[in-house]
Amino acid sequence: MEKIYGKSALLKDQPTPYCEGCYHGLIQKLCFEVVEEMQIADQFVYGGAVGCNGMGAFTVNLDAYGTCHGRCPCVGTALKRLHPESVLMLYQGDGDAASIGLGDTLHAANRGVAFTVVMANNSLYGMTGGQASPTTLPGMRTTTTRKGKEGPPMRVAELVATLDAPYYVARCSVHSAKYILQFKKALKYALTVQMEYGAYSFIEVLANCPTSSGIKPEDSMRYIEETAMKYFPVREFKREGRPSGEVTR
Amino acid sequence: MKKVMKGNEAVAETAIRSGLEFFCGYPITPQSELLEYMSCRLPEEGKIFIQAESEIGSSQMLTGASIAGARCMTATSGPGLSLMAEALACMALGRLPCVLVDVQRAFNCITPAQMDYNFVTKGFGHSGQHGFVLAPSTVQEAADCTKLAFEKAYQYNVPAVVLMDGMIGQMMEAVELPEKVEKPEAVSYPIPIGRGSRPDKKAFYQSGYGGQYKGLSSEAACEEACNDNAALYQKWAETEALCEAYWMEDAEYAIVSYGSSARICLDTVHMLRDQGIKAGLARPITVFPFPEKQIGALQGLKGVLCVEMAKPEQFAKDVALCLGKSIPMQTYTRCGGNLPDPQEAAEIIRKMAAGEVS
Repeated sequence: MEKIYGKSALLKDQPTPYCEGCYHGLIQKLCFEVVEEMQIADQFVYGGAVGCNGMGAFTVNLDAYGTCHGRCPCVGTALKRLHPESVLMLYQGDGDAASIGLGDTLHAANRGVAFTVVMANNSLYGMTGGQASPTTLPGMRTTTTRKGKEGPPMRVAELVATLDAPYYVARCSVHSAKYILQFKKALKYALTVQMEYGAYSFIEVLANCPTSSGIKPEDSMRYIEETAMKYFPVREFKREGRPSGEVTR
Repeated sequence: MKKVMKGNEAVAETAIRSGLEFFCGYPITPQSELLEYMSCRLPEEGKIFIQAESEIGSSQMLTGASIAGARCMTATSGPGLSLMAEALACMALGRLPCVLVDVQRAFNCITPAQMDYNFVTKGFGHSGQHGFVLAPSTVQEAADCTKLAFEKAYQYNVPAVVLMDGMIGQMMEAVELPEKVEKPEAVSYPIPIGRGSRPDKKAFYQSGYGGQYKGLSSEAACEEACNDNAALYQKWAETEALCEAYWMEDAEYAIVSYGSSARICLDTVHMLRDQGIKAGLARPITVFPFPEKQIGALQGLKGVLCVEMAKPEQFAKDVALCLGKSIPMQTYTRCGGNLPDPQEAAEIIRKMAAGEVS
């Protein structure tokens, strides 16, 4: 029988470290598919952060580094200056990039460092057991907001898009085939402009943590479509360094 | 040829001549001239200068530069050093080399102090692992120690610290700078390089909390790293400790002090000698490793006075550990940005000699 689909060769031959239904496994798999399709594995460096997302660094047959919580962009800034030929993708969560590391995120974006940030936004801290994060939705119950979160969530992609230096800023989702294709296209574009123009790009990806959010894997798609996307519109915010009104292409 | 230079600038120029490839920093008094000097000189040399958004940022950029295999450095003062604790803890555990210059100040005051001693000598942050710490007492020695710091950092793959204070950083003195190292020796890492797809690549690796070699999330690897490091520090104590003895040949009383305080105490030694009291100065140049043997050898004297710019005493506790309780020891400290007075120090030793204090 002809094999028409399989795991990317860039992933180690081992079980994923993630829970059933976790979106990190899915998003990272898609990232590495893009790297494989673009044939840039030799130059590629995976910048890992702290949180469940950081476990990705152990699962790849790629150059990778891990950092302290939130500091991925600072370490990446130095790496990219010293090795401009590398293609650097930072993979962070919302707790990492939007809370403890928001300053690092914005300063790296404002410097326009030539790397691509993929921020998986599952609206809580997964690894530590489901506490509220800056992107937790109003009313959402977490272990630190048991009566429901008060106040609005932070829209990080929109925030990054207010800066002049970022070349490409978008929010994607991966909860259905249509969105998966959009995300892969967006990431391909971001990595391409990184290589061609030395451009900074930021892609937020909507996610769910079934273990900590209490939203079961089979309900994740509906949650993202009907709830998360109300607060976090899936679209492009900047393209070619200019504001973009487009839906993610 | 000697030049008259500010301490901060002499350190910066020496670092460049020692093969510095990457500097990142954040403005803080009394260190800022070092940052400013680097901002114009490093790009002239075709090397990289980054002004970070904070000391958290600069210390993490330093980590990135070290991972990437560059000879790297940052400089700061106490408040900034506190912000660097997390990165330093990781670099020391993961054995990532760098040079850190700490121009100490008195907490919120921008005047000189020696209040960071415990921070840099007792183990960084949450890992408790050490750096190689040098404490110069003149501008010339600050330059010499900077060169030595680069040598030790890249010999042992550790953070090396030049522990100065605002007095040395800010004052101008004649200084002979070292010759430029044209091609610094390639950095050799103890860390296995990830996948090795690019053999030319220096050292991208999975660093995490201390590196793949040094742990990450594995308890066994973390313990192994700590054990390796402890053995290294033990070796340093035996082979790398430096201490200057000034007028100690026939001394009956010793002042033990380091950095700016020790420099001030040179006057005290002369005052006491003029009064007929045989006093000398023992001055640790490395404060980690602490010169235990050299200070321990003072046990036969009639008395020791420890002088430092910190209260409660920090340095004096290390001295007391080496001396034991068999010898009279006094401490004289000033802090808050106030300098020790050589006459007040002399008065304490005079009283010890007269049997008025013990």
